[in-house]
Amino acid sequence: MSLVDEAKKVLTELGEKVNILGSAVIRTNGLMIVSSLPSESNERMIAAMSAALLGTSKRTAEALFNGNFRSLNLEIDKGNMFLIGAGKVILVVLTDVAPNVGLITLEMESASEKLSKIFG
Amino acid sequence: MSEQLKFIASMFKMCMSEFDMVMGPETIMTIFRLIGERQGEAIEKRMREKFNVKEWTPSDFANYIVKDVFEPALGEGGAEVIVSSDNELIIKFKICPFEKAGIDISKKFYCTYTEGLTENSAKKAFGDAEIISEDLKSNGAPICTIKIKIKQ
Repeated sequence: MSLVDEAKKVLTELGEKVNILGSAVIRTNGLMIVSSLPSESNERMIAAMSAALLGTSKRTAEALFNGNFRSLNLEIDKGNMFLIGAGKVILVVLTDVAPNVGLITLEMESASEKLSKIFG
Repeated sequence: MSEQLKFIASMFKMCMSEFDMVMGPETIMTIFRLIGERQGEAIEKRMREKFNVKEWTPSDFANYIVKDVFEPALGEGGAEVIVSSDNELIIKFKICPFEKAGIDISKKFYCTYTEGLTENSAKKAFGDAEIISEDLKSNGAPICTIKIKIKQ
């Protein structure tokens, strides 16, 4: 099984456990690896912006608490975006406006550990 | 290097340092990759029109990109592109323009520009192409070598 197929499997399993609108695995240089985002999404820009959000969030974590970034929940009036670092890649999940934050965060942590192993 | 170029290079270095501090390396690498991709698209279009190319062959693409893109930027012999029997473009950069300008390349910010440019110009020329391996000066290699697989 290729790395992309393994990543797709992680996203499929994640989608079976929690109610999500879309998900993606992105390289930290902003390159999309695999995604199941809504069809109207501009994947190229979402991948780039996700990498930028990760970079800025890491720097903010260092500046605020001298800490390490763990995850980001971006609340938007029409939905939510969750982002978590997974080693050399980023896991992004889109949900509706009222997600089960606890469950999604838990499942994303589990998925990110799997992705970290897949992509070294 | 002229005084104006030294000033611009110095400003560029300071900008990159501040961008890194505020937005992190992921942001900078992403921006450089997007610029490279856009440049790659423009380069393919320009070469196709300039050399009146109806359909690209790997060897034509290799010749034109060296003559029309790499050599004007890096000087004669600064880069070469070899077409392998496996339909791969093996691009060798002997000179890094960023390093030549006195910019620290160890953070690998600028490599993504070259990756985006080479991969996307090949994608536009051949429909589907992908970087399959790279060996970079920023990782300590003597020259940068990027291998692109053309999936025709």
